[in-house]
Amino acid sequence: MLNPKILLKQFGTFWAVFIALQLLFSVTGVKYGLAGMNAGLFGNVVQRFLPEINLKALAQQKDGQILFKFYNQKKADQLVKEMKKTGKAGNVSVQNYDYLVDPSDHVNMALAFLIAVFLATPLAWKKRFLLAGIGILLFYFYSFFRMTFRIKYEVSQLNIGLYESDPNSFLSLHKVNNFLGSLGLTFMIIVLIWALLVFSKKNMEQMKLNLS
Amino acid sequence: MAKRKKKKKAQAKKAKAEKQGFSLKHWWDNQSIALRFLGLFALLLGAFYAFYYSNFNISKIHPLILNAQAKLGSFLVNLMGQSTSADAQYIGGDGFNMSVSGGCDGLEVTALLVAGILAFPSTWKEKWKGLLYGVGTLTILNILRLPMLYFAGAKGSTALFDFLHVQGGFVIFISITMLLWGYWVIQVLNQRKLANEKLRIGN
Repeated sequence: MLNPKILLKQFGTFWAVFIALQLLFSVTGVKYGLAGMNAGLFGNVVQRFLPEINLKALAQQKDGQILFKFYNQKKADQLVKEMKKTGKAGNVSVQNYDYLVDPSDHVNMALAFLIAVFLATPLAWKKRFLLAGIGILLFYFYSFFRMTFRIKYEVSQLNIGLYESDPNSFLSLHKVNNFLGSLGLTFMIIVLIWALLVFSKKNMEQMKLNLS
Repeated sequence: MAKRKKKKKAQAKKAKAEKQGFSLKHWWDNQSIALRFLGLFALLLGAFYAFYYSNFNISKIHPLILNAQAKLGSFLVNLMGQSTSADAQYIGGDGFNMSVSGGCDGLEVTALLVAGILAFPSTWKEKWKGLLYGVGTLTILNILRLPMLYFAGAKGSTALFDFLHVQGGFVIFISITMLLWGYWVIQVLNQRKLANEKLRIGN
């Protein structure tokens, strides 16, 4: 027979890990370190998917936020070309735009939740850590997609001739942007990743054994 | 004898399906339980989100749910000696107003539990029981959360309100949802084991 009381122990493990990680992530140095790592990762990936803009992601030391600074690369190239044609030397100036992202809920808290869920799953500890690692990787794939879409949407709203949508598809894009911005979806994705990695025949047998 | 008959029937069914070509039901039945659970679980969540973000829900149903929650929340706050009123999705009182909005409505976590129960291989009787207790518990907890949030905002601090709103909103509720689902699965598996043992003793 499976013992439901063991579930409460796992619930306790979940909260212990989650609170510990949330406390750790709130330490200024750790927060800034995480923001720096995420700025590097998101900046590189988003730049690859959106080559029409020139993007730089900077971690903010004060609050651990990420500042995306970008300009219209297409326009800059065009201005350089025009200047070369005139034969004059000098600088071209293009407008810079800022997009500030606070990763504390959608990235840091979500990561703490993901790690806590995997570490509280009644499997062998080695397996819990392994699956948490794979889970983090999958979660980052989702986060890259999410961030790319949100920055693309942000650029499309600036009316600078990039990624602008026709009025018919604007509403649906706006809806997708709202959808991707909801914290609920981020957590549902984590639960799906957890279910995807945990529910195999072998793991289910082991969980049954550990819950007996 | 009965076993052999059953096997023969299954083989005939399989042969018929092969003869007929691709059958979705046959393909589905041949997948592992884990894969079927995951597929159905993801499909149900997808269906929920398609409905949750549909114009019909946003304009017709969701405002009604939010208003009902705001009214219930306001009623509970007033039971504790406060004087608040609910208008649309807002609860307003002395110097503090809050809005019950999408994400705070508890519908996403309820959908998570419903999808988990419906997708898990079990009988309809087992599913109904789980849905009744699970959804009931989550609904009550979510309604009780509203006065708690109101007092955190009106008497506590913005930081406490934000903490209970975001962390309390999602992490506490999703973890409770997963606990409820796990408890239900354990009950189902235990009852099944008990029934099998009774059958074995009876034979």
